[in-house]
Amino acid sequence: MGERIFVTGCGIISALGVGADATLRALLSCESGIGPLRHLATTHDEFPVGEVELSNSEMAGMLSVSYPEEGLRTVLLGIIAAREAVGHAGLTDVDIQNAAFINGTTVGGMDKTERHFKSVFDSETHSPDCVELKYNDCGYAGDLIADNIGRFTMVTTTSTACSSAANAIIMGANMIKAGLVDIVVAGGAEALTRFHLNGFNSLMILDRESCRPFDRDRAGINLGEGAAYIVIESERSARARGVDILAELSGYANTCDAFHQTASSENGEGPYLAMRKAMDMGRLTPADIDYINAHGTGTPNNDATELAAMHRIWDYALPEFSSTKSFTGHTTSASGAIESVVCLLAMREGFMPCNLGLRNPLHPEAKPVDTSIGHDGAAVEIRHVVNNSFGFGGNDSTLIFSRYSPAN
Amino acid sequence: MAQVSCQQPLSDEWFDSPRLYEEMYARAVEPDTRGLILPSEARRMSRILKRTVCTSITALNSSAIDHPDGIITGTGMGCMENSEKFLIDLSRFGENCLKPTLFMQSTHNTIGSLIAIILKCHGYNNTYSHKGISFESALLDAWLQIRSGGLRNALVGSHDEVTPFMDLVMESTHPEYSFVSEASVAMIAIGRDAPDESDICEIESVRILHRPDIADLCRMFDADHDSLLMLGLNGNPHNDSHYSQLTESIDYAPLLLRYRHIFGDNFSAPAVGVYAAAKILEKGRIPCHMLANDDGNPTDCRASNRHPQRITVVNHCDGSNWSIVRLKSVKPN
Repeated sequence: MGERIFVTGCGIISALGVGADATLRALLSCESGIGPLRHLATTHDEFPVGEVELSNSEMAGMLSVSYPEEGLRTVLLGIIAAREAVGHAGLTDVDIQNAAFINGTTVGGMDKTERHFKSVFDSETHSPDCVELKYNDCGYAGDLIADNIGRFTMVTTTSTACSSAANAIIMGANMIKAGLVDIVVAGGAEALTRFHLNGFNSLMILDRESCRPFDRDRAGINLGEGAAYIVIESERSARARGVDILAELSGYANTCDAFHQTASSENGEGPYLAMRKAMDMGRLTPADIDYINAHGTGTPNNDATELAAMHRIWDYALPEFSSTKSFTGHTTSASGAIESVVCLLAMREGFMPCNLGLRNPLHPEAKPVDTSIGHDGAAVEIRHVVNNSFGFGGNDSTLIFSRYSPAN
Repeated sequence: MAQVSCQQPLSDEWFDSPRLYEEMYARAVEPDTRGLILPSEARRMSRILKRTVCTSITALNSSAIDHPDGIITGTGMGCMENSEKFLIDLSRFGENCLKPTLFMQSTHNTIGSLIAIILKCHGYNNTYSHKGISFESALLDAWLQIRSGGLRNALVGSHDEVTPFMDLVMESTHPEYSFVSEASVAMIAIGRDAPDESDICEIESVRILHRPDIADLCRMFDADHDSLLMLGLNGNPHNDSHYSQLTESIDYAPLLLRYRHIFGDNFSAPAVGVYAAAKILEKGRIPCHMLANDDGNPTDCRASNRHPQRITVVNHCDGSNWSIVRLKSVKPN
């Protein structure tokens, strides 16, 4: 399918720590980042979360940026991850001037909005706090992150709830294939907010214990936060720059379940089509897939739908699969990128992240990775990984990363 | 193509007899939903969702497409009314007893997903939310995928609602705005080898630029292709000065058109600009009220009679993000 798309850099921040190395260490040692709330000002401290350890002022200090202490956590997270990705790929200022930045977010600057909303709303006239609501929209976050990194030629934002980052990567890949740009920094950033913590709580899909994706008794989501970006580029550009190629983005697809705004269908039509079409693009058969990093939120609905879709493709001979949301929490709009980086690390290091928290699998043939494969030095070869991201509204996307081989 | 705005909804009455507003803020004129949305469903939808369904279904009805391959949506603020209500409840009643429906219909992709659910479309579905280039991002996505053959066609729309509270806020957050209103625009983009008689116009190209140098921006324009520029002028110097910098720097004198004087400012305004330019190409004439000097004021009407072949729609969002959409007439010269 035309131009090949290569991954040449990645950056990540989540409850597992800052950077790819910290993330890898946590994954290999099966240490979850989920714990009690520390930073978010909410009364709902009964819910465990995957919060990034650093406070806003600590992040601002790390980055030497002067954002007001109270806000724009999404932007701070985004800058940390984007800087790592750009550094990892060795992009110069000139490279960035010819590159696009595509950010996935839904929360955007909502953290700042919810702090100032009451005073602005109650004043009923013009309040000086009005200006604080400037950052409410998603695009602001993207511009602020991009401008901190360099002078990108184009910046835009995808916002499809929990598949936002995956869709940012898909748009980036399509832009490269069309020859519009050679390099795209794509991913997503999302901070925890009272808005969506309360929103998910109103839907009664938050678990008061640590989440247990794919468990028979799973009871919902632990929300998380973070940011991750990958640098994708054309073959020509990667060769001209002489950089290491981490993997190939060999297939991807975006489909719609078209079933319900917040529930997913029983037969998993959207997820099924996403995985199927992504494999078709990569000219891959189901047997080629070695590992699936599932969306696996831990809600009864999502995990049943996702498994139904997987059974439609693989019958009961499922590839190894796991959800890493019990490590990071559900990082919503950032999850597609955070889990892409997890997949890239798994491929590079030859291990499969375990599905923490699992007690009783749904049935014996649908057992996610429990004792991590490829830990303790016995690396396994992972050729092709499927990374699923499903959002509200049935916005379902699949990315497939493949081990790089020069001739294909 | 269809629009809901402060002009007569689902109509092109604005072309020859636009509604004029004295106020600096006007809500959209709500469309008649009968025949487009079931009453039982309409009751459960917020305004932006009703408008989106009305424009989308009207646009689909005027094309030969029932099930678009892709549904690609732009929205700067998403379902603002529901988000606002949720925030009000959160600040008044605290973090308990919040209504799930408000949250369920508060995300940006609620809009595009709703259309997919109604049409039972399992194809490509994406939503862009990047200030005043949300629509152009959606259009760029559609244009790239239709050209590559990934999609045969797509429903492309952009939708923004501006509540009275947000209008108040925008006075501080968007000093470049002038007359503020709301917009919902839907259009069907189809890939063809050659134009069809039923087509409204051809989309020649879509470009989005972030903080371009004025010199780089100028290089994008030439007298042959860009003699007619539809600009996002609104009469406010904070906004219009960016356009005059451009028009003064290019080495020819384009004829300038405006549309925000009747449709207003909001994040989805560029979608109305593209819609209005397409209408001009379809009708083969320029309404007098759309001609403008680069100060955003009306100019003399002599040029309005000429038969426009191409219109380049240029918008910027607070000077940082620019879009250039080139449209071409499909009517014989």
